[in-house]
Amino acid sequence: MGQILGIFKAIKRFIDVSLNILVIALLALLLIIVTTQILARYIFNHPLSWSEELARYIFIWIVFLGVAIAFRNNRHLRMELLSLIIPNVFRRIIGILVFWIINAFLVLLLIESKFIISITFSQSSPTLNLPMGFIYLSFVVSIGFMLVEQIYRIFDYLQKGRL
Amino acid sequence: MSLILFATFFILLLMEVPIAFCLFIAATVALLFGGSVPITVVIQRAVTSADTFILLSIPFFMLAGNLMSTGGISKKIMNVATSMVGFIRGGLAHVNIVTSMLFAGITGAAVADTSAIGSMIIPAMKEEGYGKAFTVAVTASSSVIGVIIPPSIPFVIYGVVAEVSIGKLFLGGLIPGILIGLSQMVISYVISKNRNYGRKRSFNLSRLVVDFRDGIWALFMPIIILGGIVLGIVTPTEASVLATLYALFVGFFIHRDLKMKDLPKIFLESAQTTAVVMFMIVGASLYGLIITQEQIPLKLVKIITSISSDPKTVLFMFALVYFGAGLFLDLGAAIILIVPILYPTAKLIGIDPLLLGIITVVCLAAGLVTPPVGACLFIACEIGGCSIIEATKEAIPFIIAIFVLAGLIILIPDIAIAIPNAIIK
Repeated sequence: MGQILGIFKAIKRFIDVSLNILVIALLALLLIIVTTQILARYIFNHPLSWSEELARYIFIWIVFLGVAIAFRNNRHLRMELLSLIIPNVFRRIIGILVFWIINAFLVLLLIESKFIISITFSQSSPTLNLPMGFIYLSFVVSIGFMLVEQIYRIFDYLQKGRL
Repeated sequence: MSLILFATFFILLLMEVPIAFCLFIAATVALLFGGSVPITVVIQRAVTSADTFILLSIPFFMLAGNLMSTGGISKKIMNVATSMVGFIRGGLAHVNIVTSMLFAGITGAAVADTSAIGSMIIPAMKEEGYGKAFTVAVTASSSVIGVIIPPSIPFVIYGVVAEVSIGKLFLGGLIPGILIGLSQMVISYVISKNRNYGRKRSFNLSRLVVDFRDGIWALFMPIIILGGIVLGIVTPTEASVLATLYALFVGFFIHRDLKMKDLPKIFLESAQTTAVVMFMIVGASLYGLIITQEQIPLKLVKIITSISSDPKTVLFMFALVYFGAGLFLDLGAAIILIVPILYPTAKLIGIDPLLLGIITVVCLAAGLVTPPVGACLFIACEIGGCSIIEATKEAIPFIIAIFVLAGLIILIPDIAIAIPNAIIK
């Protein structure tokens, strides 16, 4: 059990770091693309047809991968009101409930995403002719990463005996 | 359907589910039980609503602000402010406020200003004998100017939700932001005089010139951003990219305090904050769709007009709603949740969307200083080692001043909207 857990943790760490590097690289790429667009339009007087569309799609990938990173770091904003009022015991019960509500939601969307991916891979984007499925894939990948995080949290809980 | 939507949403919100998830789950549940639309719409709407070029300005305004506040720029700006207003009674309080105003032209978020400025000036103010709670209150209240003076991410969010020109909104925030700063200086002056705060400094023109020359690269940034957009040379997104390039250039080649190894962290942080805001925006698009489908704005108009149909009175009611929301919600989240309901309602009553945008951001910005949820107040308290209750007491005059100003703008809209309407057609 301990060994499997160790391997799982190592894989998880690898995923986390790769995800960070990917998002940083995509943001840098986005900066370069929009800069190229500005240069082409204002300096070379030759507006690019592809840059804006590509920039938007990269942005969408940054957003949804970033969503997974923020999820891992517990950075998504919440209204912290109840935990100021209610006792610890209830807070923990609600916390567990919320954990499973989010799991149910993620799994539901993952199942539903099958259809949208299959439909959109046959559509292509206006100027770049990219299959639209590549763009929708970002959302599905994001859900996947969040589910991995949730599974990791279960293992972590089992190991430490606390959340 | 809207009943299921709101009930689910508020229950989840109270359970402290992240707001973006509340929006997504509530919309999904509403579709499951009330709609004829398949659940795949959730994914489809989420992706298509992120597909907007203006929204790309959010990561780059964050990036530019983070790059600028990493280096020694905040120190340079504070020096400029010190030689500008340090000689007035309550010197460092004024320095604090003016630094926030100058910083506001560089960053688009308030929280970044609180931590960048607060970590420098709070220790300095405490050392000169300013009350701890007062110091924290001035720092937190003045940092909200960061989202009112352009660039401003909340204005970008409002502009996207309500389809108002970002350039107009940016310009519209300029005068209110300056007025809030001035009103805070008046309050600080009175308090400092009563309590005999601060030590005497004299005004020195040559010092001002030196500091100004030293800080010129940072001070030039707002001119690039606002000038580019206002003159119609660049779009807001392009302006945000130019600002980022400028920040990189200044950091690497002029001030030389930015290092290659700092970049990944700054990029990741900017992407993450962007994702948090964007996830709420895309979650709200579905929520907005259901709200419109159920004609909630129309029903709301009926209720409101039964009380009053005068646009000014209605705006005062909205300001009250914003005050209430600001107590519990983060600024961006509040815009995303409330504007889809209030904006169509306001349009039916005949309220100028530009004016509504300015009132929205000004009133909700005050919420950043009000507990139980007030990000700027919390950060300032943490830096200053002050209890939230003590700091809140001292912040009350500053919070009131923001709302008085909002009221003034409602009564005389031209204070805020004359300039943008004259410059941008």
